[in-house]
Amino acid sequence: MSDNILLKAENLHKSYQMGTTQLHVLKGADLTVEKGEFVAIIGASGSGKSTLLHLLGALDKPDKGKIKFHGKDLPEISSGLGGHTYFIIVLCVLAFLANIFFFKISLSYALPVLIIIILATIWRDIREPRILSDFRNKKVGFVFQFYHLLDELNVLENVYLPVMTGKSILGWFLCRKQAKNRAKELLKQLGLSERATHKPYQLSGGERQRAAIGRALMNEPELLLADEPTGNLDSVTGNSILEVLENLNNQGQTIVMITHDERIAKRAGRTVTLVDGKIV
Amino acid sequence: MYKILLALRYLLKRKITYFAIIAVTLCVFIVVIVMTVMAGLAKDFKERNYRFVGDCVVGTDSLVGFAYYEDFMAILEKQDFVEAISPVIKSFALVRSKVTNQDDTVEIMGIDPARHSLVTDFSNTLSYHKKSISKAFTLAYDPNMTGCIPGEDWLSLRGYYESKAYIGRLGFSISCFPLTSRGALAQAGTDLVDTKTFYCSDNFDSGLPRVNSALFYLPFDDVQRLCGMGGPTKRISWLHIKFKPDVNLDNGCEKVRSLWGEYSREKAGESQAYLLDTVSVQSWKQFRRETIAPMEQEGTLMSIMFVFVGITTVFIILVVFYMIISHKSKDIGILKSVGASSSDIIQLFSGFAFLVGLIGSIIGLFAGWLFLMNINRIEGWLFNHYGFQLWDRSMYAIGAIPNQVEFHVFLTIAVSAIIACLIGAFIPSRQAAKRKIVDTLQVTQL
Repeated sequence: MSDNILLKAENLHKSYQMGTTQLHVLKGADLTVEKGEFVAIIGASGSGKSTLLHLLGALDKPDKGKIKFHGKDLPEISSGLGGHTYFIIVLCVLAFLANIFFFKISLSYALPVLIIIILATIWRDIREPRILSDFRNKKVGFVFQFYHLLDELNVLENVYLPVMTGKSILGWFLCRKQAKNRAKELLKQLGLSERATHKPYQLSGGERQRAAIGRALMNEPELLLADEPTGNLDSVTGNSILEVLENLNNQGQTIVMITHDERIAKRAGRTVTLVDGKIV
Repeated sequence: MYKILLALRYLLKRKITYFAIIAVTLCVFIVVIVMTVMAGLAKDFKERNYRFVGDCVVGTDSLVGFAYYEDFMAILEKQDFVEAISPVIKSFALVRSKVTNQDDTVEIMGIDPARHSLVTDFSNTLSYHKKSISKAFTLAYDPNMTGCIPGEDWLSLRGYYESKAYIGRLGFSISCFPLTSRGALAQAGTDLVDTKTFYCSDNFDSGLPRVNSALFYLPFDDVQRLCGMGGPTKRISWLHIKFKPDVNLDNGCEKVRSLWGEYSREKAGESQAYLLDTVSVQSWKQFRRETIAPMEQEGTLMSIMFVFVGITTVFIILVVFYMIISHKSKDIGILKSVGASSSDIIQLFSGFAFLVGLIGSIIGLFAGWLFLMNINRIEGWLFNHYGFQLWDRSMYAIGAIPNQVEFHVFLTIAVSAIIACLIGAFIPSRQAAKRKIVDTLQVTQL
């Protein structure tokens, strides 16, 4: 049974600072998702559904608790430049000024060295552990309520964006044909073949959401996380999106969807309810 | 790959990007023009000073001069690194015009024109004796009269130059104060001559306004007598030396310095050896440092101004990128949600900034080059139509505004502009990369 567990969240806590008050949203939420499951998380507005989904997809980090994917912990999300980096930069600048004024080293020699040291320090510090971005790139796919497609790219480019994101320039050139073919295939499955070269703003809401699903599936993720995927659509379009998700689940895709609508939740294989920051 | 793709799309789609490109273009354009012109002026000015002096000078500022120069000249002539030597006497004199009877104080320089032309560019500064330099002080209609060569500006300021009828007709009575080797005024009644009449045989334009307006070239022997430097132990002020073309300036000066050291020790027992203590060996740059230093200072001030131009560019880019990135924060969230890392986001916007800098630089360099190629025509047009002159010719002594473009200057400016863009874009892109994904996606709804 434990071999079949894809994702396990244990005792998740998350709070937000709202002005002077701290809002404790998740208060020890536990969730286990098995491979091939279609889980709907239902809860009232403000119950912490989206927060839970973001934590499961490593878009945010919990204040407390652990998330295990295939039994392994997700590492913490880094938070940019640390205080030590500023300290090193200040030291570099002081050393640079000392060299100029006391040792009379030429500015043209000292300045490039200073720039290189500072850039190298910053670079070392801002490099987020690749493991988290790789996790978001290859292991999970997100479908957001508001689609979140890039306006500068057409539908086809939006769909194969995760492949481009995960590859170097050389890597992309080696697999671009394959990636484009897969994106076209996905668009065909989602009924968007004719819309491949259109920009997102030229599509209807349902079409945009299907394009977003295509993007989420591009790297064949083990887990699809859907945040109110029908929340911004009319009932007919929403129904077609749910059919797409059902079909994917029937093909073995693990899906975790959040919704506030019980009728939609019933379409999932399992429904869990989030009440007062806990799964009940 | 998506970074290049998106950087290009942002570049083409965002109108505000065009403002950033225009800002970079204008900064590059200004810097290119000012640097090219100012560098040209400075280079030209230094070259003119070099042409006026030669490579190296041995001598003293003292009006008494120094003795035993002939033996030292003989030593120098034997050296394989020395091409030519010219003895020069420099002093001050009172000049009285035979036409107007007006007095004036001038610097006088006694030279042998043929010798001096081998060391300096003297012959080319003359108006009439470029090809007959040995006759520079000879008046064609009366070889018995002694010629003098005043500066073009000196003649012009006194209204002689415009008439063009001064050659041979303009006489000057030149008086000096002859000094003994001890620096005292020579006693009246000795055979020292202190006044002589010279007639204008030519005029010179050295390209150095202060020299042109205050200096008279006179025959060497006459000045030596006028200044009391003749007699049994002859004296001069300076020895101007020209090195062979392949000789390094500092090495050449060092060799001369060493030779002079030995020579002055040899002459230590001579009666006028005390005069040798004031003699120094200087390169032309050291000799003319008082003239060159203000120009170099001007160059330093220009560099500081360019630093401010660079800082302005950085701030413009920073503001533009803040605006662009704040509009694109959702995109950053989307990219991160599909697997882009913080460093990827910084690379994306750095690539974008690089493109802005590159395009701005190319346009700015091209516009600058185009302007420089036509700068003299534009200035001429402005002068003809509005009487406006960009550069004061009397101050810089230039015929045309220098517009010689140099590849390394262009390259430095382009690279600096791109670096300025990268620095300007780095802070907002780093802050964008630092933001939480959920915040950038604006999905903080619970």
